[in-house]
Formats: sequence, C-alpha cells, structure tokens
Amino acid sequence: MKKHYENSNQSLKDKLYNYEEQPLPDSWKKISGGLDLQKSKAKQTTNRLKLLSYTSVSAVALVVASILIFQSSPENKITITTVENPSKDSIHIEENVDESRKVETNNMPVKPKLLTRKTGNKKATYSLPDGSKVTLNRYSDFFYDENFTDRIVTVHGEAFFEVKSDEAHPLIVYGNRSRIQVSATSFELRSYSDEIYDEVNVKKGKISIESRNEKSKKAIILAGYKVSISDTIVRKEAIVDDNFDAWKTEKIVFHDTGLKEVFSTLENYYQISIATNSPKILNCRFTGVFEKSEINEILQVLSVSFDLSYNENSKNYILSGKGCN
Amino acid sequence: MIEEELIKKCITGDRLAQEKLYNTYASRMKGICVRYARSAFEAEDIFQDGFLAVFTNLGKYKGTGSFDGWIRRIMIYTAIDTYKKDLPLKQQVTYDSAPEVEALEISGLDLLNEQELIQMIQQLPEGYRIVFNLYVVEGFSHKEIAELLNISASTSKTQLFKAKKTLQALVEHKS
Repeated sequence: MKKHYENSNQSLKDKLYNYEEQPLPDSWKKISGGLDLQKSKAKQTTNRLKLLSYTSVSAVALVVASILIFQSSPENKITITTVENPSKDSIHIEENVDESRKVETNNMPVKPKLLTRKTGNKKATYSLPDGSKVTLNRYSDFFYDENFTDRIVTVHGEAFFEVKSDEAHPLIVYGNRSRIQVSATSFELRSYSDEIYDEVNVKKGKISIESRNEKSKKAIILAGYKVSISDTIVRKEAIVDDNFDAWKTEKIVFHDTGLKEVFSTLENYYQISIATNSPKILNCRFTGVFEKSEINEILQVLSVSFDLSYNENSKNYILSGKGCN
Repeated sequence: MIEEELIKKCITGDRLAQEKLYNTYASRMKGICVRYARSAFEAEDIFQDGFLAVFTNLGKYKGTGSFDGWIRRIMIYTAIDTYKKDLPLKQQVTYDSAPEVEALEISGLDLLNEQELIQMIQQLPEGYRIVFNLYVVEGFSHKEIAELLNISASTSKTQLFKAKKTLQALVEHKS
C-alpha cells in the first residue's frame, strides 16, 4: 500500500488507523454460529455445484458464499483472490446480478432488510406487521426483518408487547439471553447487555421461553408470573411488583404496600431519590392508584395520609414525620 | 505477531483457536468497522460478516506481508461490499476538472480526541466517508479507490475534497 503523508494530517491518520473499539459481548457467539452454519451448508453444496452456472447473492452473503460455491469451479467469474496487493486484487461483484435468483439451492440466507425502531428520552409505541403492538421504554430499540415472514423481533432495552399473533403463527422475540415464543399475550421484556439477566413479566396469556445460551433451559410462564434468565439460570417466580409495567401504563398501583416499596417504585419511575428522617415512616402502608401523576402530587397525598412533610433538592427528596407503628 | 500454528489450527476449524484469533484482533477490527459504517448496527454487521470472511479465507493467507494488514483488508472489503450493495447501480459522476485536493489540510484536528474524530467521520455522507477512510487512513491511491468502488479516479478526488471540506465545517462548528 502506498502511504500518503499530508503534513499535519499524519497524526490524524495515525489516530484513526489505530482506533480500537470494544466489540459487543455476544459478537463472538454470533460469528461462531455463522461458522457452524457454513460447515453444515458446505456439506449440502458439494452435490449441487454442477447445477450452478450463476448465482445471485447480496453482497454481504457473497463474501461468505463465494468460497463455498467456487472452490470446485475455478472457471467461474466471481472470485476472491489472494489479498496481498490491494491495487491488483479486489472483490469483483457482477453488476447485472439478478436479485430474484436467490441461492435457494444452497439455502444460503440472503441478508434481510432490517427495520429498526429506536427511542430517545421518550417512550413510544409501534405496530408490527401482524397487528401486535410494541411499546418501547426510553433509550431502547428493537428490529425485525422487513418481510416479517419469520416473525422475529429482537429487543435491546425494555419493551412491552401486546401480541396479536395466532397459535399457528407465533411471534418470536429475542433478548440478549432469551428466546420467547408467544401468541395472544401481553408481556414485558427487559434485556440490557450490561445486566446479567433478561427479565420477562407476563401480564396476560402465556409465553414459552428458552435460554439462548442453553436451549435445554426452557419454561412456560403464565400470567402473573415472571422469569429471569441469565447465561446459566432460568428462574420463575410470581410477580410481586404490580408496577413492573408502570412505565408503559403510566399508572402506579399500591395495595396495602409498605412505604419502603412505595418509595422504591417512585424512585425508579421518576428517577429521583427518597430518604426519610425516621425509619418508622417505612412502616406505614398505603393503598392508592396514581395515573399520569406528577411526583409532587403523589408526595402530597402521602404526606396528608401519614402526616409527613417533605423537602426537595434537585431530585433528592427527604420526608419527615413520626411515621407509623 | 500471530503464530503460524494458530492460523493452521483455525483453518482446520479448531473453535478455540479461532476464538483466540478473534480475541486478538477484535477491538482493532471493530475500530475499522465503526469508521466505515453509518450506525452501530451496521458496524456490528460489517464486523461479524468480516470475521466470517476472515475465517473462510484464512487458507489464502500466504504468510507474506503482515497478518494485521491482511485481516484489515478483509474488513475493509467487507465494509465496501456493504456500501456498494446500497448504492444505486449507476452512480458515476464526472467532473471536468477535479480541484487540487491533496494539498487541502484540515486545521484544528489536533485538538480533537479519537472519539470526536470518529463521530465526525460518521457524520459524513456515505461516499465522502468511504473515500476519506480509504485515502487518508488506509493509504490507497485514487486509482486504487476507483477500482475498489467502481468509480472514476476523478470522482474519487472530488469525493475526498468534499469530505475534507465537510470535516472542516464540522470541526469549526464544534469550536
């Protein structure tokens, strides 16, 4: 490769040339999976090579597919030559490739066109082609194949699904660690790559879930139950926090709930911190429903109910009072 | 320096060896993908496809020239493939005279750190970004770029010129 030295831009080149970035934690698994796929497809290809006089592949599958297909037919046009000298060697792509002639005999997957939905600091609701609704919490995203023939949705972050699919055509939802199969259900999935567990709360209907890491770890979860999946554990339990989907419904429900839990729910929901000047305050139990309320409204209700007062200092609240016994 | 032994094992399909090779080069290669891609999603796609191509073509590495250079080229070709796939087929634009570009230097770049540089590059339109990367960072000539991208050398020069001007504007906007 020839080098270009452009005076003060040399350091620019160096900075960029040496730039490194941490890969995602599950990248290797995906690549490894791709290698497995190649191995099993290669066995099928050898018998069909003679039939192939041309192929049409999307550019991405091309790099992988070409080697498998053309190992035995060197006279073919598409080649990947030894990459010693970039000026001489390049990947030639046949320009007038007919997109409709997919490599079906090879069963090599053509790269799907992915539709992505992503939220910033506001939650949003989207519809899937089958009529299902997905509500994404803030800073979350999901994507699916535009054609939706396989009905697969992949989620990063937090999403609430209201699924319309029927039993014959279930919806498949992937989190980082879990694979969920559903029809006619309402459930919430929380999957962040920097958390150990994927968590699923089932509100209506039932889900079938398995660990992506160990397919033998699977479970069926009914409404009113939740499941946590890590790389090694699948743990089912009853849902105790009725407000797991408050971010979506904007409704917070307390039913004879101790204030310790009340405050914890409020802290998460409003992204604030609540402290008390007396531990007896946490003994109080509260019943009530708040819908689309401001935090101040809620604290006022609590203050009146339990004879408390409160102070606020940039999202840090301190409650004072005698509390309960 | 990657050992011959490791490469041989990778060629036979030894998964542990392949993972070791992956771990050695992953962050460098991700860094390249990030420079060429439009988004984090695309960078990840290029990254995975690129590594698949690396392992598939490993038998073709003859041992002459550095392995680092070899694996880089695979990543870059994968990135270019992704870019070409989304290009309308005939996108040849000819210019009567390409302005003198090699001399154009972008000032204020020393003040930026790597993250900021990468962010700015990601903000460039497709064609500008690819040519900028290939010419300024990878060191290809306009003739080589023309061959790789199926454009004319003068288009490559113009794209580079525009890339630099856009970067200049981005740098100035930042300060």
